[in-house]
Amino acid sequence: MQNYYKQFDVCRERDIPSCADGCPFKMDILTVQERIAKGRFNAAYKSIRDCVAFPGIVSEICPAYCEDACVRKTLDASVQIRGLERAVVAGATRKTPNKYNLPARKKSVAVIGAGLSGMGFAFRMASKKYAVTIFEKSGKIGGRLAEQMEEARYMAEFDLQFKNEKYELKLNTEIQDIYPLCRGAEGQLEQSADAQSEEQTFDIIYIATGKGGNTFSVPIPGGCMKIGETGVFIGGEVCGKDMMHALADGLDIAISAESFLKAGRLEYPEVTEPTGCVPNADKLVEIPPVTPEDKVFTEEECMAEAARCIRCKCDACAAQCDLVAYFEKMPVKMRDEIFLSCKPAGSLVHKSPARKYVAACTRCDLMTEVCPEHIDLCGMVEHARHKMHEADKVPAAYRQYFIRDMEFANGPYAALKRTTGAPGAYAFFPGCNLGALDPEYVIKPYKWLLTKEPDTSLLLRCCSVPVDWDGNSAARKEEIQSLRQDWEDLGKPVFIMACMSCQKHLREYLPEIETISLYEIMQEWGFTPEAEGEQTNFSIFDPCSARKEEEVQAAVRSLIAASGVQAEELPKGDRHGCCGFGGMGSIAAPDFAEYVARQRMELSENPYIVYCANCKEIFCDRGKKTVHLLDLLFDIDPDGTKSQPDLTRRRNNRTLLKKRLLEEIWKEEMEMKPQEIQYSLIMQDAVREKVNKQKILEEDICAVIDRAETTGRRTLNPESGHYTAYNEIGYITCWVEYSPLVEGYEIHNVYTHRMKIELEAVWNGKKTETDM
Amino acid sequence: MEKKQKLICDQCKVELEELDAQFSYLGKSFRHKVSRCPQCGQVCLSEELVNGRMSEVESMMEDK
Repeated sequence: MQNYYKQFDVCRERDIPSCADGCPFKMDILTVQERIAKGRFNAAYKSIRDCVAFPGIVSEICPAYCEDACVRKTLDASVQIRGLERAVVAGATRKTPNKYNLPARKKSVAVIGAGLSGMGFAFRMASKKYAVTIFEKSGKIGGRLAEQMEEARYMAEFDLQFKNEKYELKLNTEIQDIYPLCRGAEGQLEQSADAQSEEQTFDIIYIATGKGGNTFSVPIPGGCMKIGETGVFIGGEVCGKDMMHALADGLDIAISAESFLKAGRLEYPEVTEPTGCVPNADKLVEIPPVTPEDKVFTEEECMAEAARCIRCKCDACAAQCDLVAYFEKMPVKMRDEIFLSCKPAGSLVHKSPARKYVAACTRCDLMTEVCPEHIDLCGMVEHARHKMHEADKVPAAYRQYFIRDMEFANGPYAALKRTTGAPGAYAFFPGCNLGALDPEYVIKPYKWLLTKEPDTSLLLRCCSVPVDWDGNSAARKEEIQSLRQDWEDLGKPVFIMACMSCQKHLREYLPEIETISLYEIMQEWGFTPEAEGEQTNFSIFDPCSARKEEEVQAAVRSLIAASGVQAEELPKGDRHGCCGFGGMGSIAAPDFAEYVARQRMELSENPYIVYCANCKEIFCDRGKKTVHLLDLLFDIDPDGTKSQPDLTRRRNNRTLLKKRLLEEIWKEEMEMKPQEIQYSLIMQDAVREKVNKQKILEEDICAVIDRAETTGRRTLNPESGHYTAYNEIGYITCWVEYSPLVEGYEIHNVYTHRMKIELEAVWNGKKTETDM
Repeated sequence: MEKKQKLICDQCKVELEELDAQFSYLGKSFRHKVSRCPQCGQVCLSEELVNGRMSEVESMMEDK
């Protein structure tokens, strides 16, 4: 877990966009843009001033490092950030700084040099109400600013910003030595010992003497030192910076200076790491830059230009990972919650905030792929499932349906392991869900395989992925062992896989078993489909488990082409998540599973061709026309509109598949009679759908009715004549509203909950019988 | 909310009353007033309660 945790150190979620990174002031350009886009010029002006101190000067002379870094630069043209800034400075109506009634501070500050850097430093310190004295050797302030703009304009800006601040200005005062200005530097001050008593001393000295100016032996770059009790900093053009960086230095060092005054820490501002922000390339569509009609952008032009900004931020995870997007938690937050949730049982931490989404994750593994740092959140979720299972933090109701389904698929009614004589080199492993949709999906391809390789064996069972979803390490070990045993019993054949998820699972846990997809085999062994020439234009939806499986994808495409069907690629090819089937989301967080399914359905308006039974089921259930590749090749459901079987029918299909295979291939009768539904149940379609959604089987409903009818434990609604009864099915409680018919029962409603009704508890002050 | 419908315990043939019942989930237990037979204690939960408040509480507890 620690290893996973540490990976997030490189997460770039909080990295600033490259424009802000290029800006000497690290201005929060996104916020400024946002305010401009909303027409809030005064607010935008305030943001700019808070950052650069003198917007009137900076907007005029800054060479716009931000525009150089803009991602649009290589596409169309950078967002004209400086133009926007100028428009804000010109258009803002409330520029007078607010007056804050702060008490004056006792500490004093000296600034040597009244250039832009020194003025910036002086401004920050003066706003904090320190007593500021500026020494300037020439007769005016501004330094080299005069080379770049009109004196009157920058003077006006200084006057405006310093309106509420006081500072003492000593013009024509050249400082030769800083020791006399330092407090308590007597020991180091032999030459000018007498001078000190007369002259004022300071707690902070900022040396900003400008290009080629005196450094007073303070080391550069990045120099600060303590002389006596005084903190001395140096910055600006004297350190070889350009004017904008010099101003930024003054502003940054003011923060360091204050931390020295308050806490005695003498630290030069840190140089920040370059940003790792990777913008979302999908958002980058060409929009031509706005050309201002006049010199300055109008408000409308500003808004249009600001709207060109794609608001760069590293959010590949949020854009691609369903879990991050739906639960609105960025991976770092998830990491913390998952870490907390994995604390072992008995630890002092009882919280498991990640419970739901860890169970719901579809494990499509897209997040790790798209993250520029490839942070393995997917692996962490997988690991957490096992940890949380160990700590008994996974509600049993989450896993119940999946485990029961797996047990059924591996049980006597559905599982089948057969050779056709001597163990062959191949065995067909269709997976448990393909035959559940329709036995033909397994029978037809298997019969075809037998025509090519008559000794191909068959293994009908579940690949055991549900225990992995549940994080049950012990059960997984057992299941994998039993699967390995089956493989050995069949003479260690190559498994021909019809389900990509099974294949992914087997490869992960049973790498010794060689697997190949059915579709590759069909292509290799020369399957010739009858060309249908259907008119519909399909899109190919690769299951998430086949992402990057180039050979499978190629085989699938050539089979589709051979069948004469028109099919195109999805806009992003195979770069998409799960259809919503994976994980325990359909129970743990049904809304999430639904969200995922809808997202995938909307990738294209075309009907889909899929080659995963689960994708077919998910899409067809939601009314999207979807055909399985096997539908096309074997003419099973070529229209893709057949309604998918409900859970009870799926079970029956599995049994039917086994029965038919035994009869048709091995000429045997199935020993076990198919399970029969105890009562005949009559349900409206709406009720049936509800039952299916809650993953309730008809046999569960029968169990409820059976209990009610045999014990008499039911309530009657005299108005409707309906009975209501319940029964606990494992970890869920199932309620059924029904009325008896001459033959069987009519089911009016079914609903379930996970809470347990504690019947043996004391209620109403009386003790009840425990056997109710 | 419509008026509570009259419900009858089929075993005791008496009308259900609003009485406390105890529930538990994820190691926590709590009480709530539900329709219950005053004689045998049989409870009857409406779909409204199960899919409304109960499901909310379940979800909240899972998030904790």
